[in-house]
Amino acid sequence: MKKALSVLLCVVLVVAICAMSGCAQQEESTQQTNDPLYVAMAVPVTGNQAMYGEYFSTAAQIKVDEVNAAGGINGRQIVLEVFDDRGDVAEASNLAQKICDDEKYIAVIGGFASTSVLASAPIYGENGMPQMVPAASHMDITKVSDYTWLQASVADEMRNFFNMVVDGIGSKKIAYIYLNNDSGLSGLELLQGFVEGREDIELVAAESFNEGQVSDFTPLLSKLKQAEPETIMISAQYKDIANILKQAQQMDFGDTTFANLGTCYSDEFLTLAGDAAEGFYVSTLYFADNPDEGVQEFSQLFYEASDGKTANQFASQAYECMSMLVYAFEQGATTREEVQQALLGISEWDGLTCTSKYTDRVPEKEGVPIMVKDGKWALAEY
Amino acid sequence: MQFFTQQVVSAIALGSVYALTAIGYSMVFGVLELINFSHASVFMVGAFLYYILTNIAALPGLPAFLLSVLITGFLGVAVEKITLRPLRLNNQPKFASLISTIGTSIILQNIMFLLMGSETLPYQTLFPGQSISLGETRISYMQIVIVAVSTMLLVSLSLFIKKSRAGMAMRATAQNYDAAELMGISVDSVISLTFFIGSAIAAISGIFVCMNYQSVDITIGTSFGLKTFAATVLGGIGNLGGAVLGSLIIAFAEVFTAAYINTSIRDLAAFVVLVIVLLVRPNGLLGKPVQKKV
Repeated sequence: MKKALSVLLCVVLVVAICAMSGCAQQEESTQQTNDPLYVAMAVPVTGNQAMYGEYFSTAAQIKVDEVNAAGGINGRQIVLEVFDDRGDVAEASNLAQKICDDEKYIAVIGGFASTSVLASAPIYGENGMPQMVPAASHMDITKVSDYTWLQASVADEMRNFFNMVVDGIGSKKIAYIYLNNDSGLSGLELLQGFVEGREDIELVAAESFNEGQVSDFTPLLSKLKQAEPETIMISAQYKDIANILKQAQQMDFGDTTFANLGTCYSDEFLTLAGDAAEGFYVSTLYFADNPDEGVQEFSQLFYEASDGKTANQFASQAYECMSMLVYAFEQGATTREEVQQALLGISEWDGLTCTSKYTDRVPEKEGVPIMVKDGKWALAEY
Repeated sequence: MQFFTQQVVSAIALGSVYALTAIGYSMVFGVLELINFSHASVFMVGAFLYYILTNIAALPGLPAFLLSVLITGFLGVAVEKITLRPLRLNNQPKFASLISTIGTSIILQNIMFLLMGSETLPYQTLFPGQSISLGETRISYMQIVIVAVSTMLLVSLSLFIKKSRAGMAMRATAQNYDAAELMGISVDSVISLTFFIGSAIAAISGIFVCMNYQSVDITIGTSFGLKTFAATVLGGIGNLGGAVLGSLIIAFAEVFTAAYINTSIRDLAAFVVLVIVLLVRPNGLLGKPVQKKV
C-alpha cells in the first residue's frame, strides 16, 4: 500500500513538474511572440555605391511593411535594420562580425559588389547566419560559405545572354567584347563552354580592353569586322558600350547586331548612345515596362515607396531576398538555423517579380530580352 | 591591306589630336623650362566649355567653338598669372612652380566636377555617322576635319614662331630668359602669349577628341594628358616638330598594337616605345642635349 502510494506520488510529482515546466515554457514563448524578428541589412549607404544601397533598403522595406501591416508573422513584427558598409571590403567584414555578435539578428541581406560579399560571406557562414545576397553574382560566393543565397549568378546570366543571341536573334557566328578583368575572363570561359555545346554556333572573335583606358575603339572594331560576325556580344560598362556603338556606326557594320548583358539597361545609356543604340539588344533579369502583372505591381509599389523612382533589377532582387526570408518566417523559423533549413526547402521560388529554380543556393532565372526601339526600351522582337 | 590602311587612317587622326595637345606642353617647356601639369585639365575644361555653350547655352556650333577656344586661351593666361608668375617673380625654385601646376590641375578638375558632375555626357558632333569610302577603307568626315585643321594649325603656328616678331620674341625668351629681357622684350607678355596659344590649341584638341568619340567626362584630361606628355618627351621636349613626331609615333604604336595584338595592351605599347626611345636618346628624338646654365 505504502509502495503504491509512493509510486502514485511520484507520478503526480512528475506530471506536476511537467505541467508546470510546460506552463513556464508556454509563458516564455508567449512572451517571445511579441518580440520582433530582426533582419540586418549591410549595404553601401554612403560612398559612391550609395544609390544601390538605397534601392535595396527601399525595396526590402516594402515587403516588411506589407507583412507588418497584415499583423506580422504569428503576431511578431519584422524589423529591418540597415547598416552602412560603404561598399568597402574591410568595413564589410567588420560589419559582418558586429551583426553576427548580436544574437537578435536571425538573417542578413547584403553586400552589394562581389568583392565585399566574398569578404563578409565566410564570417556569416562561421556564425551560421543566412545571408541573402541581392545583386552580387560571382560564382565563388556560394563556395566560401554554406549560408549564402544568391539572386543572380554569372553563369545563369551568361546562359540567358547566349540564348537570346543564338535562339532569339538567331545568330550562328558570334563575337565577344569583354573587359580585361576577373569577371570579363570568367564570362569568356562560360561563353566558350556554351559554344562548345552547340555544333552550329561559332565564336569567330573575342577581344578585350582595359576599363577606363580606351576611348578609341576603331582598331578593335575593325578587327572584329574582319571576322564577319552576325552578332557582337559586349560585356562592359554602359559608357564604353555607347562609345563602341557610335564608332561602329561610322564603320558600317551592315546587318551585324550588337547585344549586351544587363549593364546598358538605363535611360542614361539611351541619352549617351543616341540613335547609334537603335536595334541594340540587352538581356536583363528585370524590365520595368514588362507587362507581367507582378512586375507592374512591384513597379507601382516601388514608385510610391521611393517618391517616384523607377524600380530596377537591384530593387526587385532585394524585394525577393526579403520575400524569401518572410517565407522562412512563415514556416515557423525563428532562429538562424531554422531560417537556413526553411530556405533549403525552397527548390522553386515563385516571387512577385520573378520565378527561380534553386540548386545549391544558386538560382536559375528566365532572362528578359529587351531592345532599343524608336529610342526607347521595349521587349525584344527578332 | 584594307585592314592595314584603315589602321593607318585611325592612327593619323589620333596622332593629330595628340599633337595639338603635345604642342602646349612643348611650348611652355621651351619658354619656362617647366612641365605644366595643369595643361591636361585645361584641355578638359576646353572640351567642357563647348559642351556647356552648345547644350546649355544653346549656341550654334561655330560661335560656340570659337568662344570656348578663346575662353580657354584666357584661362591659360589666368592660370599662369595667378599660380606661376608670383612664384617666378619671387625667384622661387622651379619645383615650386611644378607643384603649383599639379595643384592647379586638381583645382580645375574639381571645379568641373562640382559644376558638371562625374557622369559621361553626350557630345555634339559635326557629321554624326557620316563617312566616305576609299575602296574598303572608311574615313569619317570628322577624321578628315581633324587632320586638316590640325595640319593647318601646326603649319601656321610654326610660321608664326619662325616669321613674326612675337614668335621671334618667344624664341629669344626660350633661348635666354634674362638676355631677352635685357634686349627690351617684355618677357611677361611673351609668357602670357605662350600660355594663351598653348591653352587655345589644347581646347581645339579637346573639342575634336570629344566630337570624335561623341562623349565627354571629367576624366578625359587624365589619360589624354599622360599620353600627350609622353609624346612630347618622346619627340624631345621643347621642340615643336618633336611634339608632332612623338604624337604620331605614340598613336601608331597604340593603334597597331590594338589592331594586331590586343586592345588591352595598347597603353602599355605606347609607354614601352617611350622607354625604349629614351634609353637610346635621353633627350627625345629631336631634342638637343640641355646645357646647364650656370
